[in-house]
Amino acid sequence: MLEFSKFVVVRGVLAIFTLVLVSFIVFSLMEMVPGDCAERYLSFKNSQGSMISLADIQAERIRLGLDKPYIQRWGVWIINAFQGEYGDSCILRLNISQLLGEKFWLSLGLCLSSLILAYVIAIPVGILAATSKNAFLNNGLRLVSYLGLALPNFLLALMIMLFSTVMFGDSLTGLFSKEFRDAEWSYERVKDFLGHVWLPIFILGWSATAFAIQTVRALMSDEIGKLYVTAAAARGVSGRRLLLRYPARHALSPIINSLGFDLNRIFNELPIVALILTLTEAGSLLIEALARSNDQQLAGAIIFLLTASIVGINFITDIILALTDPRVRRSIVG
Amino acid sequence: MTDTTNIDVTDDQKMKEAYFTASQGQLIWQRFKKNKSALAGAWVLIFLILSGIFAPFLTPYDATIAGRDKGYLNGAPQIPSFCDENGCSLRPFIYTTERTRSIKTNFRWVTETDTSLEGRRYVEFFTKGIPYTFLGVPFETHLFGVDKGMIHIFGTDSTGKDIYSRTLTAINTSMAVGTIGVFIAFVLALAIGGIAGYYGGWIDSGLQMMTDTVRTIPSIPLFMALAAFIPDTWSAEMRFFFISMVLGLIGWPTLARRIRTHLLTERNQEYVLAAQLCGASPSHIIRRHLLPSFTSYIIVDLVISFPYMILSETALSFIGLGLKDPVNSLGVMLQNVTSADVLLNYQWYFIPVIFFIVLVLAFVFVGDGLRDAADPYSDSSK
Amino acid sequence: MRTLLYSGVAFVALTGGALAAACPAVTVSDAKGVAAGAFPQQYELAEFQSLGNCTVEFAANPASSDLNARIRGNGALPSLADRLPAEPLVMAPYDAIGSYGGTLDALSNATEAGTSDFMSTRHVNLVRYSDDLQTIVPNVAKGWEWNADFTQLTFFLRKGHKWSDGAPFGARDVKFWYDNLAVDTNVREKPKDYVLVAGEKINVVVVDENTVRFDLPSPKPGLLSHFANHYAQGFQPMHFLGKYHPAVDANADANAQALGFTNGYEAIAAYYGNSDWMDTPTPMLSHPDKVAGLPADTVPTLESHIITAESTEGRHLVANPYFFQIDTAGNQLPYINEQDELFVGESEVRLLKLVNAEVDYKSQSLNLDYAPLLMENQEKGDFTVDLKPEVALGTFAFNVTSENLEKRKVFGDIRFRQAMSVAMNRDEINDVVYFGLGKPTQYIGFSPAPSFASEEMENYMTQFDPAKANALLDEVGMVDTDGDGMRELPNGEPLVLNLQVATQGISVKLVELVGQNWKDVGVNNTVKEVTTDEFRSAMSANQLDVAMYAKGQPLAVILGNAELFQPPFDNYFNVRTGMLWGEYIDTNGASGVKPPEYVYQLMKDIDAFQGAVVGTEESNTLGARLVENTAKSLLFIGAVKAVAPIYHSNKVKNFTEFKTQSYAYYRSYPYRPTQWYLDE
Repeated sequence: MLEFSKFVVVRGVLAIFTLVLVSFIVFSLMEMVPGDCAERYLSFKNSQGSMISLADIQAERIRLGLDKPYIQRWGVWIINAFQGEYGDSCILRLNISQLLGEKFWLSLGLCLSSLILAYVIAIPVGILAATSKNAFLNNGLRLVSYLGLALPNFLLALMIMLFSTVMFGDSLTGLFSKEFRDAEWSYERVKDFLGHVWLPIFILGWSATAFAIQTVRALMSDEIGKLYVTAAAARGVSGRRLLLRYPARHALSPIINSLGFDLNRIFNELPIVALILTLTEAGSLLIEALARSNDQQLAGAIIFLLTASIVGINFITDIILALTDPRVRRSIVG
Repeated sequence: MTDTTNIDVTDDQKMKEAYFTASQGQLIWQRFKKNKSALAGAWVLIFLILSGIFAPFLTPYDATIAGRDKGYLNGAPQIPSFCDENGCSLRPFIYTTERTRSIKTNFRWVTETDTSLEGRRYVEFFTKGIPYTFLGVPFETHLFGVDKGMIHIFGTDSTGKDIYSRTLTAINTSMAVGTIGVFIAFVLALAIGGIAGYYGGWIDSGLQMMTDTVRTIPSIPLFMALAAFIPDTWSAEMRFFFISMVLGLIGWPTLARRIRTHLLTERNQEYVLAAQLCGASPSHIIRRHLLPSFTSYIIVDLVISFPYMILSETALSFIGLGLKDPVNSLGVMLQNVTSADVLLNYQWYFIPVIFFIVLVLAFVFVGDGLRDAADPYSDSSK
Repeated sequence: MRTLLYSGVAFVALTGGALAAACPAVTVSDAKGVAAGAFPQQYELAEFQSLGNCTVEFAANPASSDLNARIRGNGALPSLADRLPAEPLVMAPYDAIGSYGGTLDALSNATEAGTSDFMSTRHVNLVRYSDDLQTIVPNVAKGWEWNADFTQLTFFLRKGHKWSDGAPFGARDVKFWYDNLAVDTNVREKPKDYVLVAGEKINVVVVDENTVRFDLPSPKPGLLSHFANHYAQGFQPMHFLGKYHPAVDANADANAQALGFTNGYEAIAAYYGNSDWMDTPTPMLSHPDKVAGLPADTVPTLESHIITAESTEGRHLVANPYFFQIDTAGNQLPYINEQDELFVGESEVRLLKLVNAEVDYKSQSLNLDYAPLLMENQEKGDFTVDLKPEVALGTFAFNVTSENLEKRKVFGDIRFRQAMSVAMNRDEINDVVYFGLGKPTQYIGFSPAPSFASEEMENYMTQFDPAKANALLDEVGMVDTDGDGMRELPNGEPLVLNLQVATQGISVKLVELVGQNWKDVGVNNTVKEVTTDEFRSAMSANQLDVAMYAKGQPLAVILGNAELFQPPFDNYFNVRTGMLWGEYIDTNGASGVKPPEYVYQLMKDIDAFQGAVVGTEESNTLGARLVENTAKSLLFIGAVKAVAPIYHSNKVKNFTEFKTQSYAYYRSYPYRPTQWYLDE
């Protein structure tokens, strides 16, 4: 027990350390990119006819606090971040916690839904693909799912939107219709939301499913060949029971293990899809902050929250594995 | 009678010997050959790769703006035919076209085709075209061309560049660019995942933290920051080569984590204990015993990462980083498709996307096939 | 222009007394026999009544009280006569008297990006450029007066003009804007150039309640033009913001703290932002936790519409019930009750929305490549697309003060630049990239070309002459020494120009074609797309061989801003060359490279030009010399001036075709969007 709690504590400390390290790296990377946030903000205005001089840019920097050395800025920021205060977005001029508000939970929910959808489809299909003799079914299923991998998300999104525009005159953008944009949460709003959110979940889910099927199939094929399965079959266990009780259970442990990273992968794909579908959530804000406005604090905040989620999930899955899989427990503790 | 029986026995014995003395590679190849879909995938892959390598020969025109067709912008594909109302011909031909556009046509090209006998332009094979060098030797012959004007079997883009030529050249660029990244990611994943999994304990925790960190770093700021350090004088391809190398440097965590978990469970198996008792060193055990048990994941991941590398290129190009026009890569050509106007009116821009999808699918099927073939337990039929 | 202009001059005496007849509904297309006023397409009330021999009967928007109720902080709605100024501005609509109602749907990129075309639809300022882009006409001010030497500009405001919350507007609001916001370093670190005259502050004098005078430290005839074309409105509500301004109200900090701010300046920042841009976030977006306790959701305005809802997805506005303009039938403008602005960050998605006719007006961020798709869908979507000339022109600037001395010698040689100019096949570029609609032209600084710019200069070295280019390059000493078909520098080093394209500023197709043209005369190059920030930072670090970007400004802007003619010939965000010449001048010769004589001539001329009156002999001569020196120096080689689309739904009536598609003259402002109406 003591060993185990030591393990938990150590993991916890390392998780926090990871958070700090990732945020430092992201801040540093953004620092190296030419054109800081003050410049980008003013360049919008320049393209609208404002005459901006270097002195103006410097003044804006001072106003935003960007003239202080970046270690100092990051230091102050990270200490506040652990308390839930992320400062102001330099490009949107808004308080970040208020800006992100429910947006981050929306994004996380989107990604988790896609992931769950992916595995709900992938586990049965992957098992089927690994064990089925029907080559036609096998190859057909694989082909359809791998298409989700080969066709990039943004292209798929654009094609669907275009199709919908041409056929139905509805461009399918956004998470809410105009009426519900600023409204309070209500039954109507939830219905409206569901009517819009299926599209990003479908798009993100398709490629996630492909990945997941690949993985499940490979893991199942491995486990099926193992001797303990043959032994069970020899004992008389057969059919679905054989499949589910033996290889499937063992194949699932690496999957649980990688849930956190799968989430990260989907969250990396979310921004571009969100940009195209004009979803008003953290993913599109992130891509704007990184690629368009070099807004360190906003990007830092979103990535901080994301890293915290992933590290948290990894932490939990490690513990679950340690609790459920005796082999892992023995390795870690002993 | 006695002779044939002897021969049968010897044959049988030879086969058994062959089986027992075969190397792992040969065994894998045998099993792979039996898998129809994987074999099909492999053939397609080889075909595409060769098309890329021999692109200068297979394509009639220069894939850059120098090779553009000024009279045929955004032109539809020209498929040669053998027969028409004026009779049949042994040589396939296409027609001469006149194109105009103005504000009255909403700036869409209006094409007038001359379908008379004089309007025919015959396709010729092994024509003399623009010179190119291959392996240092200059050549001038191209697989096909047309006697007058230019032929565009996949159509042209908005500046008149031949899409067929661009596609084949693009395969080359994309394949070349993906290789380095995948290789580096692979080596790093093996090393780090292996060490973490084998030793466990503190080393594992430390490496885990490093893995987590690297995994969560989003690629966009990394790309942008690195782009700032690249010297101006590097060509666009060299620049992306460098960046894909870096993508590889951050691409190892997923595989590393899987390897590490697998090793954490496997290292307590009996065969490992046996090897340890024999006095094998840790690195020997990792290399010769533990890792081969993991070949399936490794292979799947390796083969899957390849197209994923190309996919990340396209995503980054979409936001404005990575490779862009006028460079020829599959990602750039994909980018050209993501425009409402193109999707509605110039559907032939989609052809390179089909090549891309087929390439990815081929990789994936080959990966699956290799995985099946490499698994030492899978030859027992169920 | 030393004219004394008083709008609303007392013709009243002649007519004598009130007249019974209602006024004819004069429109621009049908003047109904009423003579034009002192200014085109609009009248002062008294002027109109006397010219038409009639009395205007005011009519209000039936939805006014509903709309007023949605503006938080507004009290009950008084009658229309009490809401309008005693001297409202009478606008003659272009086609017809409009009907009230409807919502104008607009699209922007983000809260503060791509918003100016929409903002211009509700914009007001002291004066305005009329739709001929030359005549300045009254707007918030009913008239103005210069003194003899352009050091005093007096504006006459309208009696009874009220802010959107009903409080009176007057001269003190102009002074408040200037003294307490524009030049107050607590609000803005450093005052912007447009509020200063040669770096010196202006003295704003409140002559009386409705008369304000600007006393300039030195002559600046361009000040009037500034108020006509600039986004910065020359007034802010003193009754509202002054409560939180420490220099105006002794209790400012206490007032602000009562609302939850730490001090007065923070409250001002929450409402006014720190710039004159009207798209800075209101407290609804920036302080959603405090806004319920604030007296108003947004600062009171004189514009035609006021913001009632704001989020990161969009903004919603309603008509200002105290707006000062009426039409010739007496209806208070604006006709359009509400405006709805949506933020869409991705250009393809914006295009889809336009094709789908989900938007009523858009011009910013539309480029010519969208034209075919938009034009094909005009009928189905019931909208119209006009193609109008842009102001900025794609230019190529060789680095005449390159760090590489050999390149500096070659790029600095006028014959090299001439060769590069004539090597460009502008007609082909026009056909391929701009559908043949553009105009091949040389860069002359001014755009659109003013009258004093001769055609010869506009077409200087724009002919396609590769033979001449080759001859000039031979003369410069660039020959092909290694037989690869490409010329080397005179000292034998190979030359490969690195053409870095920032697609925000110039089309990559254009650069590809020019690159090919240059390769055809033996100058090797590679084309590479980069982000705008990389481009800018490389340019600032003097590392580019050739900089390519759109460039050019209208006369009205040049009157106030001399950047285009002083090294490095533009501001930080646009394309510059001669960086080291700029350094030489800034450091007074301490470092950098001494510019040639013609650069000093340009600098002298532009100073004199800004001090001269437009249209006079002196101004025309100076202008012509500026144009000639700019064109002949070929520091910036122009290619083709393009056209760009302006999109509007056919539901929008009283819409007149714009003259240009650019931010110049503040987009739709000269074309009077306040008299647009929606016909469903």
